[in-house]
Amino acid sequence: MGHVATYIDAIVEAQREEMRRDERVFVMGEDVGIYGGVFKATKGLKDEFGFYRCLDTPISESLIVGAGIGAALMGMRPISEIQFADFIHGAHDQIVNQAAKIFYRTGGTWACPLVIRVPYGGDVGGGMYHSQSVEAWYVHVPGLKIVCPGTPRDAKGLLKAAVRDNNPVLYFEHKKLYRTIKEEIPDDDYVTPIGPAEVRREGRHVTMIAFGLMLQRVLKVAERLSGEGIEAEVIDLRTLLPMDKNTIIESAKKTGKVVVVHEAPKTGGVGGEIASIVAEQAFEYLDGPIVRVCGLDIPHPFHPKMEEFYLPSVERIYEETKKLVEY
Amino acid sequence: MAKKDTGDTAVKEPVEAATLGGPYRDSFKLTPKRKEQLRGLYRVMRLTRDIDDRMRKLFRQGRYYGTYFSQIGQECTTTVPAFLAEKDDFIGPSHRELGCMVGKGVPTKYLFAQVYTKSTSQDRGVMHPVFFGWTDVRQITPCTCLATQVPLATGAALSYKMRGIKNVAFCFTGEGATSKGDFHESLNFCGIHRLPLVYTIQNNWYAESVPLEIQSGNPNQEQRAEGYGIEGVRVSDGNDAIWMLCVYEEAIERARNGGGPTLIMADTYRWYGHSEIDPATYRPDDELKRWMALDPIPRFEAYLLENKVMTSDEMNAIKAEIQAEIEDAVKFAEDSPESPAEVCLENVYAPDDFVNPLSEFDKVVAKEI
Repeated sequence: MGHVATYIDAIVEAQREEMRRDERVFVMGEDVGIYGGVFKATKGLKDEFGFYRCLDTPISESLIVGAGIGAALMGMRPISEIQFADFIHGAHDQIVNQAAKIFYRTGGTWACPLVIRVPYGGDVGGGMYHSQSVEAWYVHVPGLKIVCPGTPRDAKGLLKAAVRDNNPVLYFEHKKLYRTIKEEIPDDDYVTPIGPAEVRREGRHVTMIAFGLMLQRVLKVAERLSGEGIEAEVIDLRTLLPMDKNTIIESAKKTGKVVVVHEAPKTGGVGGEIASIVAEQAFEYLDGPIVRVCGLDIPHPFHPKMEEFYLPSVERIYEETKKLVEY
Repeated sequence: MAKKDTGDTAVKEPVEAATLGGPYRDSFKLTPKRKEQLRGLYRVMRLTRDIDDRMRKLFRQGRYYGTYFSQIGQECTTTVPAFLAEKDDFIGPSHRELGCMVGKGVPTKYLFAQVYTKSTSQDRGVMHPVFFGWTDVRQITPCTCLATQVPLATGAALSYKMRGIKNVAFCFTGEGATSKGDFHESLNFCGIHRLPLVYTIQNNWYAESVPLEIQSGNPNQEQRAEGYGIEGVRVSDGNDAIWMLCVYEEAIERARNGGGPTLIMADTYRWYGHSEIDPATYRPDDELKRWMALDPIPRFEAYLLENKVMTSDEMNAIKAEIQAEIEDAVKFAEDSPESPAEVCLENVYAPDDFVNPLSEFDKVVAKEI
């Protein structure tokens, strides 16, 4: 049995179910309580669980994360919401120097079971401070786990997994996906494991790797290529840290051609890491250069035409992939 | 003459030992229970001093790597609150808080194992010598990115309040760390929710080399408390153990019983440089001399003797006991094996079955502000 849910429904459901399951789980962040979140991702939680379990905080990102860490140390299971990914940098010190390293520096005696929910991503007309994809800056930090669900089913399953994980998890939820996709998801309690990637479509001519909003565009491109007799294998990474290297490498060996698509700027992005993994582990199997289709190396522009130009479009992904297939 | 109870300048002149107690001097009664408490506190202060002194010397002898951050001269600001804390009270220290560890009862041998970065320390030798911490007594290891422990203590206090647990979070920084955003964000939040937190600014007048007057527009940092809607207290003689004891008892009682946080600024002085590799040449020539005359430990000793809380024989016995304890601890550390290098690969991620302290289920009781 299942029910149809949007991506944001899945996020609300996951939090509600986890809060019912475990009274130590609580949400804190800007506007999460009375208002139910600026995106309504915490809608109804204050009414059901009370003021302190869906807690409106002052505008203090470092506090939102840092107090979450402190509560986690003392046995709670906090979910700290950063209203927009662009605001997360105020908490950078807490995430990188505290959350990620507590278990390590206490010799494995004190864990940090904290979830940081981070709405991120473009194609929402938000301009440069409401659209950035900042995941790569945190992929560089051992001790963190990072997930980027690309479907409603995974949005719920991965959030539940994050709440139950004993480590700090950055949960990047894509704002564009909130209400633009829906699918049937199970009614019962299920968890999507953190770590494994999911092969969304099997193919033999080219491997396409993506996550978040770009997964949806890549799936469209794969459909179109299929009509032309080109079968693309589509890997949804889902978890960026730790990364499912095995699935990437096996697929690269199988198809010999790899395209990585993400919306963050190309330079220093996750795509570079994936390209290196493929080059290190599957070089002899490659039949062409590893291609990255990414956001441009500029601040995220506002005007709809410029934003469209900035983000990897279905057309751009299609053309770059076609070129590689024909290489 | 007793010194003023709020001060805007450093204590300049030595004071007589008998004046200990600050504004509490007349009301402080030496009941049998009090005397027992003071004997306990004395042991902790003396032990802190002697451990610190030994650690400095060992570093200078090249017996361990890294550097060392001595707190000699400012023992009261850490030993007193840590001595008063209960086991499940959270402690968020900075990098110069040896007294917190000693006061909260961390075994001396593990402190030496830590500075020696040996396999017998809590982190098995992975961290820097000064990363003292001990999960058993809820003391997080310091992070040398200043003030980042402040939100952690705030979160611990939040969880106590939410779950109706009568514990208190303690947080320590120097006066320099109060310039960081984490200080403001946390105290602001503590004020809103009246969290059970006792915050100590150990004013030793220098943030590494930068003096207070170019650190803070208002050197009376305890006055910031008013802006957060919380209690602010200045202890202008932070080397006065009795004054400190009274202030912390009030602050802890307030926190434990729902009265909210307290911001305490205690004036003290670090005798040596920021770390052992800093000769502290930025300080005026006679300043250290003046503050050495205010050494908290002989003053406390004189008080205890004069008020017949302890005899000199009792004190000497404790000192001898401490020396033996330290010798054992140094031997333990020096005899402990180093960890194999591969140990650094462990504990990056916590396993699924890991359980944090205080994870047992407690009902969330806090409903509103």
